[in-house]
Amino acid sequence: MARFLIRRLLLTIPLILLVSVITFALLRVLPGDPARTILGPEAPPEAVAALRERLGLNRPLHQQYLSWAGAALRGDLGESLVDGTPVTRLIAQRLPATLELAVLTFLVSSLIAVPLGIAAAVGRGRWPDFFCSALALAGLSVPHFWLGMLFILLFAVRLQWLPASGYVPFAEDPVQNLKAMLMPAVATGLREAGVVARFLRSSLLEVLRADFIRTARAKGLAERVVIFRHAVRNALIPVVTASGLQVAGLLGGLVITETIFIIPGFGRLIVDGIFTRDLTVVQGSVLVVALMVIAVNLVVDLLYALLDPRIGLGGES
Amino acid sequence: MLAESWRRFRRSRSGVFGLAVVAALVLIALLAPWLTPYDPLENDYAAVMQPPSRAHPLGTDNFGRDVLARTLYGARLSLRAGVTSVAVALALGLPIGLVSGYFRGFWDEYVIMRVVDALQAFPFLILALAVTAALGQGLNQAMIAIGIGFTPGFIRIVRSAVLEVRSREFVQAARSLGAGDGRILLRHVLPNALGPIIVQTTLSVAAAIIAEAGLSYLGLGAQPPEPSWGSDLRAAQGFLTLAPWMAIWPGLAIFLSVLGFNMLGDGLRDALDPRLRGD
Repeated sequence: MARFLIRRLLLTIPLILLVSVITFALLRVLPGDPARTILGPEAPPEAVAALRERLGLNRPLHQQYLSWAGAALRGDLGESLVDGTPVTRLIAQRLPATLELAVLTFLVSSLIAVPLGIAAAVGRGRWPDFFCSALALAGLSVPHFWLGMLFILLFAVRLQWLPASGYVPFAEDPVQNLKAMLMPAVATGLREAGVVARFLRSSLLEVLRADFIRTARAKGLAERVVIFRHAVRNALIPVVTASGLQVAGLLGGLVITETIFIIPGFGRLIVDGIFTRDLTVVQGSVLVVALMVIAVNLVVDLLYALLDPRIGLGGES
Repeated sequence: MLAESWRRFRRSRSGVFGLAVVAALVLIALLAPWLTPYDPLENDYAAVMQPPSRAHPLGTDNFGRDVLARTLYGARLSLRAGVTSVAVALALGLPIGLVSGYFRGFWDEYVIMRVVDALQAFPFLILALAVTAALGQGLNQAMIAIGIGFTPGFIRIVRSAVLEVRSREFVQAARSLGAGDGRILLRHVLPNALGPIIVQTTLSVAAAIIAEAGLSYLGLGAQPPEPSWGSDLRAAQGFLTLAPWMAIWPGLAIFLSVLGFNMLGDGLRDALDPRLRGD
């Protein structure tokens, strides 16, 4: 067990290193001159040359990377090219809204997906399966930004139950905050729910074929006990393991959600950074998102190791 | 083999339905000029934001353009974006996955797969956004960005399909007959690894259509006035109370197209990949 934990932690170091190289490379090595991109095609060549000098773009690439990554290690992601604010401060301002939205979305999707997945697997081949699978497929296929707009049309414009936008921090006004977060969380959560429900269904179908389920039934346990105490518990393990990947998908989806509902989150920061050609902001934010995904995956893996004794007995991670 | 797969595919109700939706989408894209008398780009300032009527069954937008015409023509852009993005991902992921899975060894384990791991730490849409930040905005850039975003997933799928096939007897037989690596890879391994690759390709077209619409909705993909479901939704959001019909149809079109490709992918999985079947 201890060996597994140490190995897993050590493997994270090269991963973080690679992620930083990729983040750097994406914005520096791809064809095109960042200085030209920032200033636009009409800028005079002297201005472009001056900006190249200021950004250190004339130095060799490995030197640029080392000074960027070295600063990042010290918690310095550079300054916004637009107004000189430290990128870390911008990220710290925007992160709370996105994290809250991510947690709410995850809750919504779990609340919908778990019953849907169980009902589909237990009623396999009959109408509950057909109904729940169709619902999951629809959730998976619906563009959540369109769903968000339909929600706004129905609940904000027609019924006037919820505000179409108007985010306030939770600490300031929890009720108003949750009202503003409800539609975004449900619109994004329905899609995630589709993914999770399908996954849970197939995982549960597999578990239901296992020998220990036959044993449990043969012991004369009630079907309810067999399903909930024995099958669902085991079927949830791979689903929870995959939730690390799911968090990545969710964080990507929230970029668009924040635009529809005008939430001043992290995704908006990236999108606005692209529009204002603020490459240091984009670069820093992209790095932070990837690090968050790595951290979530690490926590999920460690929890998994704690829950499942088979891990850590020398098995491949 | 092919006939057997087709027989299995036809048994999948969702697969057949998906195929029908995709076929309808292709027909709409091809026949758009004959399906509507309106030009999707023609502004008509005398008919701005008109609700659905006999002349304009789905209403008009903020430039007086016919919403039905724009939605029909939008199929062209969405299909093109879906197919092109996935072609980019295939062009990058197929050779890398094939070679990596077939030869294994140091490069596979310590370089390629570790880079794939690292790439998968980036949320797909964020990766696409970063590429857009570097390449600039526009449909072509968005398609490349989405393709690059899908590549790690393709490398993984192709590689694991190859790993599954490479140790099978007919591959060993070919090798003992003196066939070279190139021949084995292309004539024996690839054809037998195609099932999961085809499934992944189909499901990825669905994801690419949503992704392109998403990027266009953010203003980073197709640029106005081009008829695009994503950027039309972006425009519609400004007039949600005045002209809700502007928001309904492009979104419904995205939903149905994505649903079609997802169902087709599910049906293909049942037909081509018996291991993954739910029964």
